[in-house]
Amino acid sequence: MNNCKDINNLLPAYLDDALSPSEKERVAEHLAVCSRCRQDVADLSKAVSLLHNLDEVEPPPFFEQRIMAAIREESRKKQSIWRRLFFPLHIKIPIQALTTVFIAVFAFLVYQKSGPEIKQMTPLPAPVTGAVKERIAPEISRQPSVPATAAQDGKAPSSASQGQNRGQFAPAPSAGEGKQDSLAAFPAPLREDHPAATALKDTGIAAEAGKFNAKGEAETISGPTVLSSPQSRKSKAAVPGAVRESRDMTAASPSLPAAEAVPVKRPGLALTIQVLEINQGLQDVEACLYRFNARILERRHRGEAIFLKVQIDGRRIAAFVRQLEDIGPVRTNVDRLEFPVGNAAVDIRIDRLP
Amino acid sequence: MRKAKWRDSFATLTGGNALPDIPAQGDARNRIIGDDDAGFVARSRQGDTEAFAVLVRRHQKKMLNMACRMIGDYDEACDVVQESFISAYRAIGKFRGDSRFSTWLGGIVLNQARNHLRQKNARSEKEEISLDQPARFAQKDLLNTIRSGGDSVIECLEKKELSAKIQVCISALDGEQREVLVLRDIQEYSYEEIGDMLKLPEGTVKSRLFRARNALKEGLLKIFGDLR
Repeated sequence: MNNCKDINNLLPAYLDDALSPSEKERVAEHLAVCSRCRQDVADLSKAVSLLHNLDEVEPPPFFEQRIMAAIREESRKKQSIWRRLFFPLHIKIPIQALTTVFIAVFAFLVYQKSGPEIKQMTPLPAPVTGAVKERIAPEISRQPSVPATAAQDGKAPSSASQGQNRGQFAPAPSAGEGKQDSLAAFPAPLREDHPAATALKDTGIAAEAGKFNAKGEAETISGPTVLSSPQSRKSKAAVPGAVRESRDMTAASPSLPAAEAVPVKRPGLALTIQVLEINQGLQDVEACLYRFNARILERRHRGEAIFLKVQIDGRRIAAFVRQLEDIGPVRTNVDRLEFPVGNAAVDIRIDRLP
Repeated sequence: MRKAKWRDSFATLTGGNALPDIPAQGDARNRIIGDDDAGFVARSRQGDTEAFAVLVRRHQKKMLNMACRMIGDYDEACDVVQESFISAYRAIGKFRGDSRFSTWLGGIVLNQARNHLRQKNARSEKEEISLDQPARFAQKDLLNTIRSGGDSVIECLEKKELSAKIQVCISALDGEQREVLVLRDIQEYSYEEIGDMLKLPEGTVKSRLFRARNALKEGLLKIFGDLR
């Protein structure tokens, strides 16, 4: 029953002695009776022996040298790339590693120190326009010649030019201000024992610091909520001028018992300046900030008003406000414009005159 | 027989070994396999080109024969073998000694030959292999044999004609069948080694080989009419 085709398929394995005993026996039995399959076995055997007896080809002359030349070239290339990258000097890897570590540490320190400022910083005031430049230039040129007069200048501004001078050259603290000078010793620039605060504590009346509108309209400036005394609120409602308002407050506060003074967190200074034309006003304010080396941290437009968050030397705030008064009426949320040494944040709102 | 001759030639080539063998570090497999090349492989891995030159000297002929039978063109086979040795040198760091070096190298030659044939086929739009046209390598092979002396020119011509016809039949085989036939019946690798190279189980290697032998026999019968 053995089919020649089946047997034919088994023949290579039969010759290779790779069949199971039963299959081997089956093939042998078939070969004994089938001359055609015997012929196939003979042909297959011959074919395999032809393969085995095939002559080997010889490599061409200098084949090894050719291969080795290519390999040496390869090796040189590999080595030179490796060397160029890492081993021109035997100490290059440590140098690279140390440099990388140094740069990383340095970058981290720089980021830690100035990171928040970099994030918040807005571009410095735009190039000063012609008119403003004209105003700034002579003032700067006058600076070295008048420090003494500026220091002699009293407190209350009498004219615009006096105010400007005062703004440029931070006035020396007067006798009355001597008490506040001691505030410089406070650790935080915006903390002080304020007599008025005691009164606030007593009365327990809360109000919003950013409310400056003389007409009593609720206009808030972005800034912290603070307590203010009823007197000051009253004065705000009655007197639109910010300077007078603060004088009222300073006049009222000494009457309060100093012994009851407790530390109260002082709010950041918030100013509102009213101008005829918003853009011109902004330019003037920026020029003023420029003169006081103030840094603009944030600039926002809301409706017609412009809000600036600036950083300025605390000792120069009073002079700065006096300068602003030359631009337009200024209102503040504090009664005294005396701040300790160091940068203080000031919110400025530039509003159109009604 | 051929294998013994091959080993003898190795012995003469490397007999006065200028390069002492470095025992492979912790390479237990190599010791079990008993690879004579292990020391040179270890040195080559460290970038010693002289040690690699010994490996080239030992294996160039076998690899060239394998490539010749696979590709059917002597010059192309030479190029493929050269490329294979360069590839082997580049990748010798990856050779872990799981098999003999010759098996690993054979696998590289096999891959290079496959790639070469694939590119060649793509280039020459499936050129029909003509039975009347002897393979190109046969002529060079003939010259080499005549140069090496021994047989008379007539005998050489007859042998080479036979060899060329057999090569034509080998080249006409299906690629997979050709590979196992060359590796087993010409290069005499063991089934296990062929399985390693082709990444196939031994049973598959055997069945593929048996089909290849039958196919070769049919091809030879077509050319010669009778093999007796």
